[in-house]
Amino acid sequence: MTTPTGSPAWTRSAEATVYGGHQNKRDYQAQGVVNPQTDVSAAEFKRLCADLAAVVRVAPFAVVRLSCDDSTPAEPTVHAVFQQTGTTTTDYSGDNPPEGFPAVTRNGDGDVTIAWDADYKDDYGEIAPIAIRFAQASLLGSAAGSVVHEIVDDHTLRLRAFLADGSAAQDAEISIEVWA
Amino acid sequence: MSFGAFCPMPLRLRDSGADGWSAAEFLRTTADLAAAERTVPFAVARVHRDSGATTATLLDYVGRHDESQEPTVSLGLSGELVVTWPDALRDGMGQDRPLRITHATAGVEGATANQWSVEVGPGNVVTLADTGGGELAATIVVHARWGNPVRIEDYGGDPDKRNAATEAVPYAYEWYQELGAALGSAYGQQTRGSVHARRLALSRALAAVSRADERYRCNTVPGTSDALLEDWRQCLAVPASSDDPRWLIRRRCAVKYAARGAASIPELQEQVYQLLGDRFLGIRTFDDPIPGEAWPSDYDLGSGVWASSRSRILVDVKAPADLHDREFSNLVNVHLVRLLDTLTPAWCVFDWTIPGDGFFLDISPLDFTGL
Repeated sequence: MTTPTGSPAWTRSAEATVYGGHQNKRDYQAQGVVNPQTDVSAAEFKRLCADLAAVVRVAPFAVVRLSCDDSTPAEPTVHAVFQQTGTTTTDYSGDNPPEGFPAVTRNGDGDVTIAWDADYKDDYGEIAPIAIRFAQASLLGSAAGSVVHEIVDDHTLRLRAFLADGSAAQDAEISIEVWA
Repeated sequence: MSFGAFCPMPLRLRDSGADGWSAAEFLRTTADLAAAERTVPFAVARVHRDSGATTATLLDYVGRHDESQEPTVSLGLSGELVVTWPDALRDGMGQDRPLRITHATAGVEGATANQWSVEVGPGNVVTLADTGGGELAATIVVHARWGNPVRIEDYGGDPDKRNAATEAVPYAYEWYQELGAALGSAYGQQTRGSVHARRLALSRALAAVSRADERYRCNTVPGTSDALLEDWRQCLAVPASSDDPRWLIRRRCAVKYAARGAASIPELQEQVYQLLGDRFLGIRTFDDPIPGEAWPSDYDLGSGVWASSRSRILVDVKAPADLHDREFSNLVNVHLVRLLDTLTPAWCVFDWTIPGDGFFLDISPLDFTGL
């Protein structure tokens, strides 16, 4: 089996060369496409590689939507996860995540911790660790409020949701994007 | 297309499998890349303000551009964080592209309640203001218009792309086999060593000759032309704007090249469809007045009104989302008219319409002449 070049997308180390877009790539013998309906030129291929590397650099690692359950109280419910390693739109309890998806635990009203695995495999089985670098979270619903986040460690994030008056947002529904 | 030494650039698309990349797979790649590029952020920055609100720092940054060019971070008059990007940034191909920040969102770090706002100002300035005051760390995500909007054509994407039928087995490999056979049994067939290296180099050079021959044949017709496409466009008098992708120019030239006087309405429909694609709804002719038509009664010559409309062809097209769409107007008022002018006989008139309720008013110069 052929091993793909470079490292998985979330390491954000990809350059155009990883995809074959070497700087000096050129059509052989400087001859252009034979048939434009069946061929891809070196220039077009280099552009594809460069733009793909650019997109990979800024694409989020995961986008998560969850709902806190402070009334019971119980662990939050995760509604959807779009992750570079896979997606799910089936609800799951935060303490029972499907393999590869983050666990979410309740700390208090509007206060949750999201924990991912330390490393992940890409579609070819290449393993690379994650290291959370950026995040932003929003409070969903019709009441004004905000969500602050705290990067606990390389794969753990803590979220706290507040209403406009500064009180903890009970049963908050939160959407978060994470770059790891 | 295959990969490796026997398949130098340009890539030739062919059936997939272990060593190929099919046209369908390639088009999916270009489409998804273009789609992703439209929605992913332009840049993500992690910024920091110290507790005394005296220092602003860029802690971390990723961007789609050459990352040696980072934005600057400063503090506003009220302690807000101000991030400024330059007017142009270099891409991975070394090209400077103009930049205009259009959207910004932010996420604030912390353990206590805070509220914040983000503003995009002129000059690619993004300002983050919060109510908490004091030390602040936040992630700012920006989206931007960076150079021209992405198009599949930038990557060679083309709705008419197909698998190559001619180089199913790479020319270079065929030559390699020929050279090996010509060497005879005195030489080994191992894929290493100087004999192999010389065979490989020679076979690649001879493949370039084979490809040159095929390229010549492809350029003799506009539908598969690339090197001579501009010459074809001028020869066929096909207008084109600087925005038109090459595949569209190629398609229009091919339609014009194939256009001939249509002997029947079905032939006419086929050729008009080649030009309009899914905008084409149908063609109507008017042998007799149809419901909804208003005929001037003064022109009644007895057994039905004779008018130039009897030799009229009406092309029904699908309305665009924006009736002021420049591209649509160019398509139906320039390219379609020129094509119909070529296809229809001299005694026939034609027009296009967006079908719907209403009536057609026939104001023919012949009718006025009759007055």
